[in-house]
This record gives sequence, structure tokens and C-alpha cells, in this order.
Amino acid sequence: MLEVSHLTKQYKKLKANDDISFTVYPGEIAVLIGPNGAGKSTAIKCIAGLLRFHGNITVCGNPNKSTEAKKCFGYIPELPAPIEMLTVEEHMEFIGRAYRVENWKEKSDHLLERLELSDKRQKLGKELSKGMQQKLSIACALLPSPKVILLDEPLIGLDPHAIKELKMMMQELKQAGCTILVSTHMLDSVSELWDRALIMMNGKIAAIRTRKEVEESGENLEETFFQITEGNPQGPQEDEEEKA
Amino acid sequence: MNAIGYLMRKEIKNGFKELLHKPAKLVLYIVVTAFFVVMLIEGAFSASARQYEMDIRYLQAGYLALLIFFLCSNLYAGLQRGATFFSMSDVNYLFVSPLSSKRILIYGLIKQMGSTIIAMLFMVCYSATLMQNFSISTADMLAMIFGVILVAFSAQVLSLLLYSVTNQDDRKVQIARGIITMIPVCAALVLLFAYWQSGLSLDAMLTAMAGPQMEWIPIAGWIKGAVFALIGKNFFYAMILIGIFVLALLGIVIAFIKSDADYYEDVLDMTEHNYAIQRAAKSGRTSANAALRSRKIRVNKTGLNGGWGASTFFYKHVLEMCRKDRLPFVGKSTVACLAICLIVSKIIETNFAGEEDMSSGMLMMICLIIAGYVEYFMQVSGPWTLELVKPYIYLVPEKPLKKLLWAVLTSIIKPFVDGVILFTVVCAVFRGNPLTAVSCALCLGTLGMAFISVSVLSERLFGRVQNKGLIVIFYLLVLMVIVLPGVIASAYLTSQFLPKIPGWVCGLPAIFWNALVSIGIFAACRNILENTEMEL
Repeated sequence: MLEVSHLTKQYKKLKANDDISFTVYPGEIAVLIGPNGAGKSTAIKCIAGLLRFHGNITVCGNPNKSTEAKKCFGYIPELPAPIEMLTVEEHMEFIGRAYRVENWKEKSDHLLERLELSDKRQKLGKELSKGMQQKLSIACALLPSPKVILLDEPLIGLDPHAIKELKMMMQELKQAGCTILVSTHMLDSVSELWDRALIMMNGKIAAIRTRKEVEESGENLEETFFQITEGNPQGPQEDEEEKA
Repeated sequence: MNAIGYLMRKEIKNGFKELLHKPAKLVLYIVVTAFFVVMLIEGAFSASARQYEMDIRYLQAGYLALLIFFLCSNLYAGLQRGATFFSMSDVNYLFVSPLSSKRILIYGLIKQMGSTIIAMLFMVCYSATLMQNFSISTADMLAMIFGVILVAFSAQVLSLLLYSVTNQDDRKVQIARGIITMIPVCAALVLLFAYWQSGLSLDAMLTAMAGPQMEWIPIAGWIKGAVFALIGKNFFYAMILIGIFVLALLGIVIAFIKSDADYYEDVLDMTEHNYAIQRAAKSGRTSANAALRSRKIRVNKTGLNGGWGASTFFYKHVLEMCRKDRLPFVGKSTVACLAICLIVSKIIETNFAGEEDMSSGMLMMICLIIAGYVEYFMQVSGPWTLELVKPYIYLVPEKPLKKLLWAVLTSIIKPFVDGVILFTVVCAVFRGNPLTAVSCALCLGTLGMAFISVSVLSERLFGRVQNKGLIVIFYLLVLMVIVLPGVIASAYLTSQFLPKIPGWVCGLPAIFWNALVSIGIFAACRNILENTEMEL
């Protein structure tokens, strides 16, 4: 389980995250959605322990910067950061050893197979295309079998096969009881996945909706999003057309 | 020129504004500027007080070698990838605008001149030493610095022309490369001629390097000649050489504009390459590491083959070292350091042979100073700082101090290995005392530890500063303060007790102090990974 309580992240005068609180439960996929600059990536990075912040974040009941919490979560960054001088296989070995994953070899083979990276095992990190780097990043994050998975714009740069495979993996992880938090501004890409939507605006959580609530209201995720962020379920384009 | 004038005004104004919003950076700039000014003033005062004056031909030879190196290395690089004065924002906004391409070029040239001046200011660091040893004035020193700036700048302009003219045609590139190679070859021929006439003597080589024949070498020779003519108050000769240089520079610019007004394509590739390097630097990879992207790395042996938990970082660094230099801990830097130390100490030994006896202990001490200096530049961008810009070191579930120690271990071991190799060779060459060699090796190793601790301290205090030049100077200043007590204690032992106690004992205070202060800093910064933010 992931619990975020009164998270505030300030850069000088700018509050990138302003007192945000939410919980994501095991077996649930939560999507952190919002316009550009809403503070989604900052929130994810705070949760991953990469940024300093005020407030409390617990992962599986442990403070997010503790060793116990770090054992529990996997993080897929927005910009993949492969190690230039290590091959794909060595990335997996590095993560396997650093995270003390006993059977890392078998797990690594399985992940590389699924993400179509098996034939790239001997390629160096610097030789991979952006999409390949992203796939490698996903494989590295999933290798220690995390219970909480943080994905920051995970579908950008992936080819259609990888997008399909990642979505399938997310569903499988959800079935297995993992807690998943996905940050994105591409609503279409997560429309069939989400259980809980955390809608962010200007660094704050503007609304939290479950799939059940949205479906009962007769709207879809996109309509709910525009309703909350712009006061208009049709979005800006239709609004201007109406004015015209 | 309105739009371009506006752009330049705004860039300068916003640069200053941004600086005011970053007090730590501002303080750093002020300290560095004050350091430069103090170096120049101190040099000016101490120059007149100095009794012994070194042969100015050393300075002439070194200066010419530096100019030739700058010129040729820039031209080779420019020939391969082109040169650029532009940033990606210039490409995206200016190149596609209806502004005249020539005006845009002038804008680029002015910007480049500015950055070249800043880049070459490092020479000020050496000003006090040079002014003291060669009894030259502050004005002479400034003339020398300005000379380097002119050569670096003209090398950029010439690179642009060469890249444009050769147009990546293999045959033309080969011809151009041949012409560039002629510059050091000409210098070598002059030296060969001196050897043929006078045999292998340092005096003959220095006379040749300082002689007028070398001033025929385009750009580097002209500037060297002009600078030393100014120093020697031979203004007429200086003006002639400066005139030739200005005419040549104008000729290059005109030739470039005439040859191909559509230079956008020529600079685009290099601009994109530079942009990638800047992004890499911003995301923490050094430019050297970013340059690795274009280097072909052969993957032979694979696998980390060790490490569990935090120690995996150490095995990863060892593997990366092997990929770069084939052997862990011993690489090109070790060989370069060894070569520099041997050459300089041999020159010093030869130079002082007749006047006073240069003991092997003293030569080893000189090697230690040189190696410390070289090592310092190697360590500034050590593997551990690169680790901080990737998420892994923050995410791996291990104790922060454990991760920190394993991540810096290769950087700590390397200077010890370098020290052992260097002083074994130096000891054998100069027939020195093995215990003194051990003492020097340990001194170099612990000095390396101090470098790393300062680097950790800097990360703890300031986070990542984008300007590598500033980091280098900051490290240098802090390092001097940190290692000073050990150096003073060792110097005191040397001056007061040296004949009575063995030479190697004199190094012990510095060794113990360096180790102690480094361990202290590591302990104080043990939670750095807990408190540092990853650079985004």
C-alpha cells in the first residue's frame, strides 16, 4: 500500500506539490493525471525518494526513504537513464545483485523475453534507442518483484507491441496484488487500466475519483478530467467551437 | 540588428538576474574572481621581489607548445565534426527566422569570443607562478592570456571554414588533415635541425623553440612571436605579427562567408552534438562521458561477476573501468601521469645538474606535486559523481553510508595504484630510497582520498553546479585549505629535521592528516544520499 499524507514540495516560491494526500491500495491501479506542470512527476519523484519534501509518505507501511520501503517499490522514470558502459544483461545483473534478488537470472530472462530485449542482451546502454532504453528501465524496475510500482509517463517512446505488453503486465501485477501508481497526461492510454484517478492541478489534488464513481455519473475519465480542470466536460476545443 | 541586439541584451541581463537568484553561485563567482585578481596582484608584487629568475626560453617554449596544441586539437576536432558558435535555441529560432545569415554569424562570433575568454581564464591560475619565476609584469601576463584566447578563437573560426570547404569529402578531409599535421611537423623539423646542428642538448632545443623560425608557424607562431615581442618591448615587430594575424583572421571569415553563405547545415551537426553533451552534463554525465557515446566500445568479457547489495556499485565501476581502459585502475591517465612526471623531473634534473645537486628525494617530491595536480583533474569527474545523476544509488535498498563508501571505493583505490606504479618507476629511474617512494605513493593515495572527500562535501553543500570550470576552481580552493595543515607539518619536518631523520618520515604527517580529514568528511557527509536531491 502507498500512503501519501500532506506532501508539499517547494522550489523557492513555487509550490510544485501543495499539501497533497492520497492512498493507493494493494491490487489497485491509480492514475495521477493532470495538465503539464501540474506536479505529477514531482510527486512521483518525491514518493521514489529522489527529492526532499515535507509531509509523510509510506510504502508498505515504511517511510519511503527507509531501506525497507526501497525493497518494496520499483520506479520507472520519465526519462530512462541507462548506464552507458553496461550491456542490457549487465543492467539486469547489476539490479539483481544490488537488490539481492536470489534468482535474478531466471527473472531477467523472462522479463527480457517479454519486452523483446532478448536479442539486445549484449548491446551497451548507450547503443539503445530511446524506446529500448524505456523497455530496459521497465525490466530493471520489475526485476526485484516490487509490491508497489511507480511509473512516470511509462508509455512515451514505446512501440505498439511494448505498450500492449506493458499494459498487460500492469494488469497481471494488479491481479497479483501490487499497488500501482501511474503518472500520465495521456488519458486515452490508461482509460482501460485505472481503478482510481488522482486529478492534479496547480500542484494540488483537485479531485479523487474511483472508476465506479465515474461510471455511475455516466461520464468517462476524459470528461471527468475536463469537468474538474476546466469546468467543462467537453474540453477546451469544443468549448471554443461552441463560442464560435 | 534589432532582434539580435535585443537577444544579446536580454541574454546578458537575464544571466545576471539568474545569478542574483542563486546566492551560492554568486558567492562562488565572486570568490573565483577575487582569486584571479589576487593571483595577478600577488604575482606582480612577488615578481619584483624574486632574486632568481628562470630562463624565459622555458616560458616561450611552453607557451608555443600550448598554442600549437590548442590550434591543432581544435582543428582536428572541427574537421571531424565541424564547429559551431550556436546553441540549439539559435538553430530553432534564429536559423529559421528571416534574419540575415551573416548577421546571425556575427552574433555567433561575438558569443563565441565571450565564452572563449571565460574558458581561457584558467591561465590566470598560473599567472603568479609564471610572473614570479620569469619576472614578467601583469601586463605581460595579460598579453599571454589574450594570446591564448585569440588562438582558441581563431581555431574555432578556421574549423568552421575547413569543415565547410571539405564538405565531409574524404579526399578533401585527408588533405586538410595533412595540412594541419604540417603545423606540429614544422615545429618538429625546426627542433630536428637544432639537434642536427648542436646535438641533443636542452639549451639547443630551448633556443630553437624560442627562436624566430618558430614564429613563421601560422597563427600559433605569430601570436607567440607577437606576445613575446610585446614582453621584450619590440612593439614594431609585435604590430607586424598582429597585423598578419588580423589579416589572416579576416581572410578566414570572408572566405567562409563567400564560400558558402548557407552555413546552417555545416554547423547543425556540431550544434546537435554539443547540445547532447550539454544535456548529458546537465543530467550529470561529464562531457567526457558524453563523448563516450560517439566512441566505439568493444564488448568482450561481460558480467559484473561480483557484488551483493551496496558492493555491486564497486563491481559496476570496475567493469566500467575495464570497458574504458581494458585494465581496472590502470589506464591512459596512469601512463600520461607517469610520462609527464618523468619528462619534467628529467628536465629539472638536467637543468639543475651543474648548479646544485638535485637529490632523488627532491625529484620524487616534485613528481608527487605534479602527480597530485594531474590526479586532481582526473578525480573531479570521478565515477561516483556520475552515480548521483542516475536513480539507482538512491533506490537501491541499502544504508546510505554503505552505498557512499562502495560508490567511492574505485576513486579511492585508483590514486594508490597510480602512486605505486609511478613511484616504483621514478624510484628505479632516479635510484631513490624505496621507503621514500612508498611514502610518496601513500601521500598521493591519501591526497586522492582528500579529493574525493572534497567532492562529496561539495555535493553535500551545493548539489551539482553546472559550470565544470567553477567546480574545478572551487575544489582547488577548498582542497588547499583542507590539506594545508598536513603540508605545513611535513614542510616543517623537512626544513627543521631532514638531515637527522629519513626523508620518508617527512611525508607521514601529510599522509595521516589527509587520511584523517578525508575520513572525517566522509563521516560528516554519511547521509548525503538521504539528503541529496537527484538532479532533474
